[in-house]
Amino acid sequence: MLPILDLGPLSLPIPPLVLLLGFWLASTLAEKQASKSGADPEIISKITWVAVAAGLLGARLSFIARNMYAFRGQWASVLSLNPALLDISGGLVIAAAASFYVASKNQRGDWSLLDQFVPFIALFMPAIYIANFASGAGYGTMTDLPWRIEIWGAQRHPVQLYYLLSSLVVFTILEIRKDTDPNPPGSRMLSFIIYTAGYITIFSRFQDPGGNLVGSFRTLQLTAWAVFTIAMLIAYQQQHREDKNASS
Amino acid sequence: MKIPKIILVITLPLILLAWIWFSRVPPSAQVPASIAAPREDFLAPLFTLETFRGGEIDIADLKGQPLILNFWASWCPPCRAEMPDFQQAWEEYRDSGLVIIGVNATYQDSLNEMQSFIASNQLTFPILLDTRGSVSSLYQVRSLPTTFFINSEGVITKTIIGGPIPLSLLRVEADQLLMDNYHAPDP
Repeated sequence: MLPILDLGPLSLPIPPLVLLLGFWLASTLAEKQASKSGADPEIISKITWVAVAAGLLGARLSFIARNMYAFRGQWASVLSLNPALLDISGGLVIAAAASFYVASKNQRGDWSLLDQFVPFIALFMPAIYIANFASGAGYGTMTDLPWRIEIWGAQRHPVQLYYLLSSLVVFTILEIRKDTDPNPPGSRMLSFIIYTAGYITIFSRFQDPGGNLVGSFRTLQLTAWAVFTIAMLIAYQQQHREDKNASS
Repeated sequence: MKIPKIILVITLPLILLAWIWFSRVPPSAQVPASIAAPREDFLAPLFTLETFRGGEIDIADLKGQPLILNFWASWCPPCRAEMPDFQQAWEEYRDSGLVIIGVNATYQDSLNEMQSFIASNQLTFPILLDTRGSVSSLYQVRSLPTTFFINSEGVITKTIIGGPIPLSLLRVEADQLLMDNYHAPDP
């Protein structure tokens, strides 16, 4: 765990730096692959930046809308740089809506556009897990296995590393298969979702659920399983349709 | 032999479903936080420190009251910027039962500058003196300011590293703590 790196008088927060670096690497890779495959790399960077800007703005507006009373006589704090004044779920909704709007405005509201984002998301996921490992977020359940780590007052599963390794395997598989897949548009994104939801379903068993339970089941695990199953069904239907078209 | 895709579509979710069943958390493990650590969902580590005005405060004595614990130093610009807002929040919420405590990182601060800063900003909420850095170390404070929001059961509900924290955010977090306090069962 290394939340802050002290360099002389400077205290650098590692998790946001890892996320920024991951974002930069991921968007660079996605643009490079898009131009290699003959697609327009501009649309990737355009949608990415619109999503980030709209997400941040939306997250702040959503926070203000939900806590309007708290800003009485304090309207200058609307512009505060403190990230605690962001409503993440509101930001995600606005970012998704803005991305969709930009994609459709550029006549790219099709499934193949989603495939072009796979390298971006697949490379950004490891950055999230490294950031979590650095900050101690998403920590594991207690264990006495030899590879346990000491964190938050107990010996625990290094679950962030399980996720990290899995995400790197997924990234590698998708990279190896990217030029050989004759699959229909959107299938690369579906593969990414299936693999990711699959490993989250498996390894969230070793993540401390905190209070996030539905009865005695982990909310994260149930959600990942539902996403996995739905994505599998869509992929199967898509493949089935393709096979039918090919045979007729 | 190639496995038909329909078999995979049916069996893989079923295998994972069995894994979910195997992974369920038994009721005995669903107990409230029992380990003290400076992180959300854990019990706030206990300590006793001297106050700026004399006397001592034992954090354990505050159980039953929601608490905002702010680590600061007078040389730290964001700490200086947010202190008037903490004072304002203290004036707005002290009658509701919310406690605000500043822990001065005295081991890395000048006592004179800290005193003149408190006087010039007319800070009236309790300020504790961490003269040896033991409490900063206990709370793993690596950067100033760092603020912990602790509910009436002594569990950390939120940590904000860095600042300044505006009054609007303090109001939101204070109301959340007080709402949790209202819903909490009697100890």
